[in-house]
Amino acid sequence: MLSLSLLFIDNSEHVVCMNELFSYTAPVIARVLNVALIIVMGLLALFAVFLVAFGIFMLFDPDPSMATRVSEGLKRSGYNTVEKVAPFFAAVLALAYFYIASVVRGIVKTLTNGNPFVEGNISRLRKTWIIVALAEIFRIFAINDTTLSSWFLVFVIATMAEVFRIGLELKRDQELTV
Amino acid sequence: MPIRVNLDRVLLDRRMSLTEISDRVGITLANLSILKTGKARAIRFSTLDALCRELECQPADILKYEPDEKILAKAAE
Repeated sequence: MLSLSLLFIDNSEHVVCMNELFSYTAPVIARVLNVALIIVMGLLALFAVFLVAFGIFMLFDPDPSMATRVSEGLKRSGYNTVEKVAPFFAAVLALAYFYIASVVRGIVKTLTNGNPFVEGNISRLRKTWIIVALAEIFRIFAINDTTLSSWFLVFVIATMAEVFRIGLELKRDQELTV
Repeated sequence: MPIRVNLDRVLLDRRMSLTEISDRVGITLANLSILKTGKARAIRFSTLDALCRELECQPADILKYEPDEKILAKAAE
């Protein structure tokens, strides 16, 4: 769990006063997203720890019936993979999605601060789509499976990153208007 | 940027400090110094209106167009 907590990045963003004219209250959806992401991150971390433990157990288990059952289950689900290391593959994916959730939480934090158009969010969005893409590529090689919706997500997030870049430019213009 | 802000000269002529004009036009000191130092990217008509009213001047007294020699040379080619 200690190594997992190292994955948290310090997301403290200096808050530039965006607008002196109105006081900002965080939108409800940002607060709901924050709580949801914490829950998702907790579940993913637990899942990863469980998978690693299960994988180690399977490696050293002299009784092959468990491994046979797992491989049968995987084959029935249409996955073609090496069953002995399958839990580790799944753990890697869980950690990848854990990292994505922590990055997205950084974006949500800037949203609750009232200033989402910062340099950091562009790199966060870029990180998100790159990791989603890498996870999908990993899935192709590890379990010979990929989902169209994930690739769709990659393009959507990549587009959003560019939209954010324009948004940042507009915000800078707005800040330097007297 | 070929547009230069001459606010400090107008203020000097009127013997007015930045704080004083800031109080009179109701623009924060921070925003006025952005304008004065030439960091501003845009100026609202309402700001220009307030400045001209309080300083009793024309927009042309505050803003000066100084064409960039390089750009002019390029355009002439």
